[in-house]
Amino acid sequence: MEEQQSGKIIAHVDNDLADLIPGYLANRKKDIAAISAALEKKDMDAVRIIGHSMKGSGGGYGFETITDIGMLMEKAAKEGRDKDIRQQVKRLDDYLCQVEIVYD
Amino acid sequence: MSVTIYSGTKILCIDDDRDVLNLLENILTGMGYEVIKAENGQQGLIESQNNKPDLILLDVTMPGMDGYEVCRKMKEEEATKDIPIIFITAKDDDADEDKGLSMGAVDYIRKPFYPPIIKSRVRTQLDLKLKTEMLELLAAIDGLTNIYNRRKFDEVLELEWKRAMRNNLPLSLIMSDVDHFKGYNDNYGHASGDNCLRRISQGLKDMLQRPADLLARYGGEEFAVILPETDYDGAIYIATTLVTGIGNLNIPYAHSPVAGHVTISIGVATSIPGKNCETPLQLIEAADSMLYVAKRNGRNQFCARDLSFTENS
Repeated sequence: MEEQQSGKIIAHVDNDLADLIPGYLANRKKDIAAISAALEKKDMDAVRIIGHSMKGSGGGYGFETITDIGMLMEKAAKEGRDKDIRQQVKRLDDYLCQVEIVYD
Repeated sequence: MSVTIYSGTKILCIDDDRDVLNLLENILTGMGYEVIKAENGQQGLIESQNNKPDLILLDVTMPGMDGYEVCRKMKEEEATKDIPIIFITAKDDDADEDKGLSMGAVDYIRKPFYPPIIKSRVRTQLDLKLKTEMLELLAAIDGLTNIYNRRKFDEVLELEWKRAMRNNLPLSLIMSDVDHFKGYNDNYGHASGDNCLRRISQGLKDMLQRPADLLARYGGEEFAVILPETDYDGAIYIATTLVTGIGNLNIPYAHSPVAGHVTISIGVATSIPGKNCETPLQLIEAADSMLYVAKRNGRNQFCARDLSFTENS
């Protein structure tokens, strides 16, 4: 579950998931690179798949924003909207830099 | 036979997304379940056959074989058709959910899933599965003797008959009856009579070592044994063992006209289904007629008839 606090994004994550979080976030960084590469090749299907995956996993880990980004990216990829995809990639990059994790 | 309280629950998770698999594994192992992971549909099918999980969590959107196809294939296989499947998927149209449930899934959870929802739904389905299995077991067991009941006997005989016919194999049947059981009840009381039946059931069960043989309480003091893939000589051997064995239990029966203890009589019939014996009922009737002969000849013995012998066998 996420909250905004003094301009910061705080993600409350179940303590039981602590071991999985670093790996999960690292995979999202890899997604940024993969999406950028797919956009270069105009491979919308690859972007769609990554977006679909993020949509499905983000909220389960406590990162609703990642689910939202994934959903919008998947839709944009289906409709061939490059610009919107890049916007979501930036949004994801910013999010990964800013998010603070609090284990409950 | 006793009902076992289930332990060692196995859940198979099938998803091409490792982050989702890791999350599910984390949640489910935290609940004490054993988790098996598969990253695609084909691997999922193999794991379901090899591990016989108690529950399957199945993604829909996967490369190659999707979850719907995996579900369909599992429902076609005898070994996996009764394993409950929960779809866990980011496909969030109502039509998708309807499709998943109509394919035989027991539940449909949309991604991203909230871990407490997974826990609750998994617990519910496993609980339901356990209760269903217990109910099926109770429906098949005779309450007094704890061996299979007549209903189970009829069901298994039908199955074994078809199997034997398909494979041209012998099928033998034993019909047995406690000698002068009415007299036992009259002299010792019905409570003792019940106890006697329990001891006989246990004795018969102990003597029947082969897993495929099915012992059932056929009637009040009647017991039947289905002996798949057992020829005439084999059936006679078993009948001899049972008659002798029950005698050796030495259950006192002072008023018995036969011996000073409880005895049984047995009728045996062997067939190769489809040859000289057209239906399971004919096999039962043949064994019953032999039981009648055994009774007429003095009880505490068996009589047997070989229906499997034909000019061509």
